Amino acid sequence: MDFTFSKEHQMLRRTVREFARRHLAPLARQIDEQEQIPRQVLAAAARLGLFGVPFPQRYDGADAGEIGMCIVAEEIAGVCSSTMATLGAHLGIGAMAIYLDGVEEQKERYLPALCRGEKLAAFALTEAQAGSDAARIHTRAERDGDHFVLNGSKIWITNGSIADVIVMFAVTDPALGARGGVTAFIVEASYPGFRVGSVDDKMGIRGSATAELILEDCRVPAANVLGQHGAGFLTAMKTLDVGRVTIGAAALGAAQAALEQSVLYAVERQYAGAPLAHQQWVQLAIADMAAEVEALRSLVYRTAWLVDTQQPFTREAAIVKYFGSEVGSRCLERAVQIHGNLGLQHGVPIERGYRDGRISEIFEGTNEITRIVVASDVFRRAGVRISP
Amino acid sequence: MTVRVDNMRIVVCIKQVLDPATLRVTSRGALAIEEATRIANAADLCALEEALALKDKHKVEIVALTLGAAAADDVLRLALAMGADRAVRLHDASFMFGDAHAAGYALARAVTAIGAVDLVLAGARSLDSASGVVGAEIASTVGWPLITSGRRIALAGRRASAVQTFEDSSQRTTTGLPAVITVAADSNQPRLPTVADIMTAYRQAPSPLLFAGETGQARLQVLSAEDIVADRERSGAAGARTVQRRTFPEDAAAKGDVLSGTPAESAALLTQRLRRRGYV
Repeated sequence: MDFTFSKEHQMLRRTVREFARRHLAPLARQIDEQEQIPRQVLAAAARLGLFGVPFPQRYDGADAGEIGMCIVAEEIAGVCSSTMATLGAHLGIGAMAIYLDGVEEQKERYLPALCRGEKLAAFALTEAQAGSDAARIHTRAERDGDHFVLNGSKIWITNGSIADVIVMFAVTDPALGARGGVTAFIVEASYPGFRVGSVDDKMGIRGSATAELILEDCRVPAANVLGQHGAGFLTAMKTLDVGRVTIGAAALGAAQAALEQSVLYAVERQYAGAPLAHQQWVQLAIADMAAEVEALRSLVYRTAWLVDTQQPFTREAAIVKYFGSEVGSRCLERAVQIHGNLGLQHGVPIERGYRDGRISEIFEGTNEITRIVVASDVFRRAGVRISP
Repeated sequence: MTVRVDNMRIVVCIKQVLDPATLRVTSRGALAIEEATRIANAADLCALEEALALKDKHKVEIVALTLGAAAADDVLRLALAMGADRAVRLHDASFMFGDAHAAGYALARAVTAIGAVDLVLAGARSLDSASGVVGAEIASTVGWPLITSGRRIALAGRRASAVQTFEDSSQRTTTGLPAVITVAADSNQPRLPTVADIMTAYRQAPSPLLFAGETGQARLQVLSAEDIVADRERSGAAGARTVQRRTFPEDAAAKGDVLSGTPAESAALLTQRLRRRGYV
């Protein structure tokens, strides 16, 4: 058993931390307030290679694996969750779906531009009447010669209004339901019949663009069917498994940052003539944060290791996702309490982190759904198949 | 207009140091060395950035050079990831326990062994021992001119120049080549390596062989005293000219002084003191 990071992963962490210090920290507040990430920040991230971290170098990726991806998520989310949400939707699920289930031709066509950051990806599954009950999506895809014609709409799509390439899930055979009736498509934002609907006004990760997507007789080439016809639901679940690990890593970064800021504040703030750190309730809160961060770190990187060594990780990814997002929320909650009123002032990183973290308990499989994933696995091992 | 310079070889000396930000002083006054992170010396990375900026404009080969045990390979791999073409680590029992003079000698021998070197760049001082003389030791051993604390290095034909900043002025100093130029910390912002280049830099296995002047060799080489024809009497502890008597923390408490009285009184007191010390 070896719990040390490789030398290259250590260098990756130092480099991404320095990138975040130089390019993100000075702009994190502006990104939140102006609800967009400046073009030059995305360009700098692209130059560093952040848009292709886990993918092989033959697709212009960096070949840093899921461990590398988690290191990036941790370091970026600790400074700017909006930037991480944008990267996460692009890498963790958008481009990831193409990498996992695309045929070689599709990977060669789409991944290099996505890895170089010239194009941005999104993943569109959720609909107004199909959230956690994703099998109930209504968006239709009907064959018309060498094309499919897509009709319907998607909501809450991260990167929706700024993505160039969208992995879109649609029903190809209503009689078959989720297993066999749903197909994944690679849709380019430039295809006729595709348009962006309303853009969401959110509590947190305001710098990331979340939007409604509308498909009106959108013609998608049959060559853009992603994976097997009718196997779209499997592609979605497989992709979300990987995305969940990255979400846990991002929550780890946010929790670690909240801990560090709380320690700094507790040392500097004088309370009744001594640093706040001498208050026992502060010590207990800091200890709980440190313990949960430590537990989450082990969980995140062990799961990333399972991914990189091609072992099953569905159950672990679900645990990382819900445990991680809740550790993030609890740490931010404690950090606000330690900071007092200051922790709720606009422009203070703790306030932004408090708003930014909440979505992690919801997107890419709510914490209820991910618990069910874990429970199903636990009961399956006990010989009982629970109904979803 | 920049005249493109062709086929120039630049050696950049990079030292691995303990990150001062992670170096804790124990309650007994000792340094908790095993807890500290090892990083590339900040000024040396600025020297590398100067070399890389020259490589952006001219046809230049950059060789990163360090002196140290296997752990020091990390700074060389960082240099490779940032854009150095190859890297050389000097390692020999006879190099151990030296001082700035002995280190300068070994690095100078390596510069000679690498061969066809036009320019040697080094950080002006290290974050740990901070002697600030290794660059000068290299220059005096190889017998080349030296520009200290230069930045914005430029090449024109067989000449190099750098901006030197003094207390109240700066000047661009020009020298013939070959030469040694030292670069101060914070004189530029070293570029970050890409994620892909980081991953690639660690896939290069070190090679024990030297093929001076040849191309296509291993990107990371480890050279012994014998490889660089270093005189053991002038290397390491045997070659050291200084003795470290003791280390002690600076007395931080003595630094500040509060002047009391009305603003006018304390201002007068301050002026008086500054005059007495010759600052105004």
